[in-house]
Amino acid sequence: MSTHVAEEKQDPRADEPLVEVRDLVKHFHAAGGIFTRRKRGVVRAVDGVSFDVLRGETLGIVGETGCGKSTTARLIMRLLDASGGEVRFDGQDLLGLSGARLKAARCDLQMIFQDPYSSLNPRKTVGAIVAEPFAIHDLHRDRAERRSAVCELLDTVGLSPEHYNRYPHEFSGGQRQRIGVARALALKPKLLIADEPVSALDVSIQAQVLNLLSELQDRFGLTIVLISHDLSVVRHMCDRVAVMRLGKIVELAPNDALYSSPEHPYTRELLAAVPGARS
Amino acid sequence: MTEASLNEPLLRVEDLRVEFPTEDGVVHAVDGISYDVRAASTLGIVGESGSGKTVAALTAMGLTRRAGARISGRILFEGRDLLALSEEEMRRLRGNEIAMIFQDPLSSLHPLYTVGAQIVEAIRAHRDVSKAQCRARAIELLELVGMREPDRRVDEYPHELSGGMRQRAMIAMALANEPRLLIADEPTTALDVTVQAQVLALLERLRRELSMAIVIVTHDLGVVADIAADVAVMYAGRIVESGPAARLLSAPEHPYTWGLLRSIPTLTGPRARRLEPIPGSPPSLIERPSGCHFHPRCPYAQPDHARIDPRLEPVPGEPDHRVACLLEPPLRHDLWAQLRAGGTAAQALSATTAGVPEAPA
Repeated sequence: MSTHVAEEKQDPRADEPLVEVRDLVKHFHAAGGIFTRRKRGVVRAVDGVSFDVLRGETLGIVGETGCGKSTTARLIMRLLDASGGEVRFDGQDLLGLSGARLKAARCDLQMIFQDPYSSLNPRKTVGAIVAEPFAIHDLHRDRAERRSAVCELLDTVGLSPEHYNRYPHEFSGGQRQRIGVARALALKPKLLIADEPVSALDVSIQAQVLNLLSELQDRFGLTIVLISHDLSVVRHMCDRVAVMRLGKIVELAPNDALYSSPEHPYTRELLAAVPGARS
Repeated sequence: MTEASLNEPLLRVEDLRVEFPTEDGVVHAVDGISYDVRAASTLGIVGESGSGKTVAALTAMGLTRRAGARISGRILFEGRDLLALSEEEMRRLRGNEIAMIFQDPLSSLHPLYTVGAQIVEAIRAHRDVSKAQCRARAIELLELVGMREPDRRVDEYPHELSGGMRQRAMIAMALANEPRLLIADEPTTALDVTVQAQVLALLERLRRELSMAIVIVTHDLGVVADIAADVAVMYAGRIVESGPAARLLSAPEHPYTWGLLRSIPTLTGPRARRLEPIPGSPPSLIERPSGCHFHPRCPYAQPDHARIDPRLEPVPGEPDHRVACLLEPPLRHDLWAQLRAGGTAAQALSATTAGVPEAPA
């Protein structure tokens, strides 16, 4: 079980943030369609966002639909190309990378998605899904070795080796999310970006997945960016919280400060709107 | 609103059962549930996916269309059994005296008709009024649900509205004929929190102003705490606990309700490093566990709970608060006291079975 524990070596950048985001911008050019009366325009999805992600912390990004929180995550993951700004990951300029160097950097950045139903290929077995990062990055070429690495990952996320040859449809939503987490951990990333990881899950299952993320962080020293619309989930999980609105961060504060004395009127509005908050 | 009409339930559901035969076996979606909805009051039906909560609501609307569905029991609306009505009689009731709103407004609104045209259609299906009068009424309804510039919105198509505005348009359509009962299935689940708060406040205001009863189906206990007077908690097709919301949320009796309340992170109180999840996952409605359906996931289950089927019975001293649990009431009381003090299920169990209730470490 110890092979996945990151080695304790003296990192010269240990005191620096893992991720530094500066003036990040993403504009989408909205085309006017046949059903739209509005004119063409520019959607400023992410409009000059700057923040750091410290090593080993969980940073929460909260906001409502369309505030740019998922776009921010996708820009850091290089799933989208930024219109401007800078992202430094572990000291290197992430937005300037391409080809083999980008592929190598991506080992350290992994993502888990909201919908555990559409983010797993239904025609592949669990074993093949979790082994895919190994195939892409040409690791564990020996079949037996690859299989044992996958079984160890399944064990890490609370699944059993018997699940190796099963297909995603045989699993519940919570178990599928565990498969997604196992796949994300395969390359021993430094940063895990979780985009609404529990919002598609049943209430009684959400806590299982949130606890799993906390356990993995303790065990592997993971840095996590948790993106959520759920202020209670973010309060439970995060060390610091950024509140986004209309493509901008309106407030970024340590957890306790944000929830006990929110500074920005929009943060206060969000907190007051949570159902059950008044009771 | 007189005292007498408050005491008489508007809707009384008695021993409702809904089964769907499928290739894999019979799905016991709703398994003998009974509940009352008082006039101008709000009942929250809480459960996870597959608990039968939506089928329970759709059946009351006569919308359990699936071929071969087997339905038994009684659904009494103002004394009339809805299950005995013809399709024609049901059509006259639906959208008129009983209306429904759904989780996803975009798929419940017709994309090729304006909002106004759809409200007009809802009115003219039940009343013989001129189109001009209907249009005026549609604008009035859009204003009632808090839409700005209703005389412009009335001519817009659903895709031109935001999610919250679409939900308001659907509520306006449901209210067109001033129903006595509104059934709302996860009405705010697809909405952002600030919009959700506005829609819940709107429903509460309309309930008061129009003396309309509401059945709200939700997975969110916070929503229930905000607007429901009474709550029924469903698990595996049954009601496992029901009662006044204030009581049920502050002094819950069923281990499943405890689990739901304790597995949710909150905005207040101390932050625990770990949440306490309910182990396992919700059961299949085809092959349900024997005895108490919750026993495989219940930390307090005893061996005979796999055999005995609990009945929904009043909690001692609380006639309105009912629970289907085989644990002895004093033991339940002690367990909840331990859990509320911050103990884990294991700590609560060892403290109570040792016979000496003590504060958890």
